[in-house]
Amino acid sequence: MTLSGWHLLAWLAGSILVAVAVTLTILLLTYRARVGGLAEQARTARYVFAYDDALQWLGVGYRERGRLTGEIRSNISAAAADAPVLDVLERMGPAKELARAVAARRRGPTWVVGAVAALVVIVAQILVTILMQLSFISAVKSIAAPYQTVTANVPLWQTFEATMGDAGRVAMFSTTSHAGGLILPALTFIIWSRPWRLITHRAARRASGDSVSV
Amino acid sequence: MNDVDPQMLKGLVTLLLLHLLAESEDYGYALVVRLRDAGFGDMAEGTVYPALARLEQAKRVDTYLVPSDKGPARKYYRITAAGQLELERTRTAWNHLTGLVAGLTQGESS
Repeated sequence: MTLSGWHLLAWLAGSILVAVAVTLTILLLTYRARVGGLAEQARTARYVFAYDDALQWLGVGYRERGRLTGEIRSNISAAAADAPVLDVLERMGPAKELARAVAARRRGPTWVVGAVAALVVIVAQILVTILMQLSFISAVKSIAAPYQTVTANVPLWQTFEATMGDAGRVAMFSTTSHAGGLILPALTFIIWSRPWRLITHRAARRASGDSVSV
Repeated sequence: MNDVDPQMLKGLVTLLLLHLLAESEDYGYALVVRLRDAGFGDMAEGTVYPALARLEQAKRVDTYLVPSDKGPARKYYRITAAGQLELERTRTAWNHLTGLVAGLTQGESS
């Protein structure tokens, strides 16, 4: 390995170290609670990060997560005045389970998110279609003879047809859309709106009913 | 209270929290401490915090933030009118249940 190779390696390792340090500092500042030493703060930050992460996976919104993690941090700070942080965190149980219990009634389908995601895909598809049309027309102009008709088919999605006129101009152009083009937006809507949560949401509501009734 | 089955306590957590909040508004950890002081030492934070979240979701309690010099702002809970009704309902049901259980078990032991 040459000297420049070693320099590159050292620069890469240094960059990774700096990136890791910056990330850890941001995590620590974001999720810590005022609980004494750095080790306790790091433990708390790790717990709150895991809690936040689990809430995110369970579909709890950004602002609500902020409120919930803020509350947990505040409670940990208060509890740490009475007991060691390790005991406090142990009494709260695993962060994932706590998040699951807290979010039990919030895990409904996210129809709006699904609709927005599907819309983004549709807009992307329209842009891609426009680009494909331009490329197709450009190709037809360069290779087709006058009055020749050229057809291009994108399976399940679009069929383009162009007929050349004279003087290198396209006389007629048509695009036919196929129903298959809806597969991607529909799949996106299903994945992002999570309709299967209708089932788990109802089950969670039944499971969390803890009122006394005789 | 050391011999009380935690599952049994879980069923009562709503009643206990609503009762405490009817006495005075408080934040999460302070409610845990009040439960502990009342003898419910087995009631862990992992049970109380989700129960508070459920009560808030069901609008049995509402919340407000109070700045704290010891860390992030504290989220205080106060009981709502719906919470008061729920408290009365669960208290009546609980008294009825304990009466039934006492009647049965004391009848067996005598």
